[in-house]
Amino acid sequence: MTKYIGKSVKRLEDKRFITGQGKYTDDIKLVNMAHAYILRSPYAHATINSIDTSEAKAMEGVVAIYTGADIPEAIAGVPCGWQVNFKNGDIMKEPPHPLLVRKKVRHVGDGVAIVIADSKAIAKDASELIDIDYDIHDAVTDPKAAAQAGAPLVHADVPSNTCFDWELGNPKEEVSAAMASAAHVTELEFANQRVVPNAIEPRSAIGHYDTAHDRYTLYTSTQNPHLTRLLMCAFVLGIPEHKVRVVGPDVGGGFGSKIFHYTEEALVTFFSKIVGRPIKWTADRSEAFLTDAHGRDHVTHAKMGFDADGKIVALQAYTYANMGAYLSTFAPAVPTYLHGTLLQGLYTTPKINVDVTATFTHTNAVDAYRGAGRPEATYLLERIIDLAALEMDMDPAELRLKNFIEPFDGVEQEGYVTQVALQYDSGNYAPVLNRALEMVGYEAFRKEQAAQSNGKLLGIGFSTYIEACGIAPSAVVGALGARAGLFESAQVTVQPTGKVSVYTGSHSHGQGHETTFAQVVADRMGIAIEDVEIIHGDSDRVAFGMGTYGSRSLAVGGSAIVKSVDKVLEKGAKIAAHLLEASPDDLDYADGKWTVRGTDKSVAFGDVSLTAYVPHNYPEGLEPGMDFSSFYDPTNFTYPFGAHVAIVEIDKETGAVKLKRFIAVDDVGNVINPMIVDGQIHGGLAQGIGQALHEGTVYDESGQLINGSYMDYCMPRADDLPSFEVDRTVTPCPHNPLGVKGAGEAGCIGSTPAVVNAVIDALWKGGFKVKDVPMPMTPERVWTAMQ
Amino acid sequence: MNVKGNHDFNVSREKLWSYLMDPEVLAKITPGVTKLKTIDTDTYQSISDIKIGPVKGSFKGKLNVQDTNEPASFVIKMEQLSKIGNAHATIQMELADKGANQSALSFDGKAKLSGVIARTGQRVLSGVANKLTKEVFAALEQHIEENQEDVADKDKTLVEETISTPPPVETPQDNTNVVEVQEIAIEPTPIAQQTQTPTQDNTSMFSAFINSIKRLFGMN
Repeated sequence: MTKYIGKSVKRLEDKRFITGQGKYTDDIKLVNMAHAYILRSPYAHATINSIDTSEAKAMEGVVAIYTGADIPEAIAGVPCGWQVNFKNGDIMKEPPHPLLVRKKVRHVGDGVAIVIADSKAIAKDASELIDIDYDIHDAVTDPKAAAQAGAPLVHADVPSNTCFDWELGNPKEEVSAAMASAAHVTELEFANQRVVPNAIEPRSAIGHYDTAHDRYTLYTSTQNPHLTRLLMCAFVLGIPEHKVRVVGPDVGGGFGSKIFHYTEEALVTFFSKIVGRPIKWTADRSEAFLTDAHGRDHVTHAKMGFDADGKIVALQAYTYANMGAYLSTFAPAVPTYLHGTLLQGLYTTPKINVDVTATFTHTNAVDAYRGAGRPEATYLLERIIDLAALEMDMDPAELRLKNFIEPFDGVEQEGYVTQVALQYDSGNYAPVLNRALEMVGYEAFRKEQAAQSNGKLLGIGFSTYIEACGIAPSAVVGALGARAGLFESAQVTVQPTGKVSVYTGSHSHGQGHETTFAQVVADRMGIAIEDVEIIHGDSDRVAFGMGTYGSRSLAVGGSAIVKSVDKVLEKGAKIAAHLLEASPDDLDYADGKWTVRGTDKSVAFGDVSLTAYVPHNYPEGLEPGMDFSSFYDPTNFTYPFGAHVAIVEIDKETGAVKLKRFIAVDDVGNVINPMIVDGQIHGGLAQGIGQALHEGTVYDESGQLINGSYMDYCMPRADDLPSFEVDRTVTPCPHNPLGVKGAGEAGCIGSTPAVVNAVIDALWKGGFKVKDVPMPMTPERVWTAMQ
Repeated sequence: MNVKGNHDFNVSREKLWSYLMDPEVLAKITPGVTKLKTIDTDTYQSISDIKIGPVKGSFKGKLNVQDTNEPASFVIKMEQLSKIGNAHATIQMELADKGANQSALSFDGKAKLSGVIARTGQRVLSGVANKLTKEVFAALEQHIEENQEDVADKDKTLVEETISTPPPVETPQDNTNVVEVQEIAIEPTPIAQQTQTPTQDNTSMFSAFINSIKRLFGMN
């Protein structure tokens, strides 16, 4: 019975967004609200000799100005939520990330003072009157350079700027031995450059202390209000959680950057009590560039060995990962357990070793950004296998098909156990690539490419990826260093009239949960979608939640909802059986009513729910009401996969790359709303293509972010992109009730290497045998590669 | 950012040296400088108004002349602070003797930028630096001309071209394309009191740069 599941139901939330009635944090205005501006360091590395705020404090309209010295010693700063240990077992270096620096600034944008005033404009003006004397020091920005002898230290007590080193997979000697036996070894050195997340809504936070109830409210642009509350209460401010409400209202995009607990959230909360007024802080775009946790920034050296038939025999990867100046909430997990664990890819590689060194630099923090570690792993694998095909003069699609893991459904056949600590749930990899080849018209394309003679170079690039989503089994991630569980909760409250309120711990900031979740609930309960309301984003309304990231909402949050719905139906059957004078086992539930099997005796859902709240004629011993909470902790990650193909044309004269076609065949398990899944894929593709061709965060040698505005940082635009050709195969997830795998990150994970591979293919076929053109592949870089 | 250049002057090296060591002359020839105060031997305090595209600010700075080797070389150490960002520069100046009443000035140095000017439009700033350099040389030539009788005609022409007919003053027409940092300008009015009136460009020496920004964003 699927009236809604599998249908492209139009998004229920779009009415308020399209009509401008969305309510974001910055739209919230509280009585007597003051406004904060954070004065930030203009230097990447400097010692503060003195701060003089007297002139600024005297300005009319200024409420208060606080610096690091005004923050109690007990408040050390914002915590890191994931611990990775050194190879020798030592705990990673975890220097404090203070709310405002006391003595030393460590990146451009480091918070130095908070100015609280009657308006943001006054706060900003006053901040300009603060006189700070800095001693400027040398800075280091590159993750590899930071680990070298003599590099300026970000934290005096972190030698070689090394946060941790880490290794996963088979022992290096085994990998080297296998590599030595290889008929061909492909070696590649590359950077996976730093990108800015660029959510359309800049971060914003309002702290409000209510003296009457001795209670705080924090409104914030977050992907996980409960997690923010937990981190801020228990690890930063030491306020009991029941005294704090965190609301994540409408949020305009996150891409990971709004997972993390930021200093500004704690600052406005803490100081709202001290100044006795609500305090709002909203980043301007420039602050977003400087302080939203960035993504990627890996420097990698990898080797892949093949036997004479083209079968992969070994993979060795060395990566330097940039942490920035301080550890953001999940930063250590990204280059390790979200990256190293994915290096099996779709291939049967028997020996894999990955070695990661994470370093501090005088730059903004780097953390999860759409895909988080998995795009880096996919980029590594897919670049090197495409390059190997070129070097060995083999077809890149054939080379992949030859190395794919055989199909397994996770039920009849066991999940595939990788060399790098995971067990894939279900997979059938050849069909996605074959479907993509069919959509491309592969043979015809190769002929067209060979015949090309108009001064343009045609190229085709492949990427066949796998990702670990549905994050995550708590016990597993706990063993890997997570300092949190990664379950999800859901409460389903059936109102007496039969209408249903669903409280989910997932958080929607563009994913369309209000629609997708309602489809699931309406179908499972056999009621109209209009009778279901999805409520999220408020710690006072939703009992608990772990939020939305890692393509987990439907797989984990949706499963929790299903559990609660099933509990409602189980109880409903008991009430219905009582009303129908039958046994619950003799009832069928369909189309919103219970029917005694083989008869026309039935009772509707609404009658049952009313009976639950008006229990006059009611089963003995049964509690009144229809309200169930559930927690769902997945037993495994989910493993979506897919094949992406890019076709590019390079102008030989200018080096300009035109993306002509982009084909994406993804397998995200069962699909609830195809339109929403397509939308997620499209958005992800645009971001992944953006990284390949346009985006790149540039710090100069003194640690200045030199492209911190939309004049200087190139975002992909509609006219840079072709009309995407997307399709799907469906391999259901065997271990969650919906059979879903997650679709939020797939587009961003698969697309980047496909585009880069297409450019490299075009260059090789045009006679320019270059191994790498650094991203973003600007005309200048591509042209230079041809000289 | 690297800054480098050289120029020939119709004046003796000794005379050129004396001009460059005279704060009044320096104030006169340095673009945007509205005040130059001697605070100590070889150290000056300057206030200059600079507008780079959408970014406008009043720079307060220190200028220190060191390692003087009269009349052949000296080093300028400059620190310019403003609400739109800071600049720290060290520039090696060389004066060469090229015969009677002929000399050459060359410079080579590095400028480190921070703040808004570092992350907004830095990629086009070297163009601005070149333009500024030309302005300095032209102004110095004009000063030389004013203080000498035997000025060659060709130099007069150059001076007229660059100085006497300044490029038209730019007035941003479309406020929506002006980035927020424009509002940071601390002079003359704090933004709390500022109206939406487009800011008049008070320097004009950046018109080439402004035009390129405008072309870039279709603001004409």
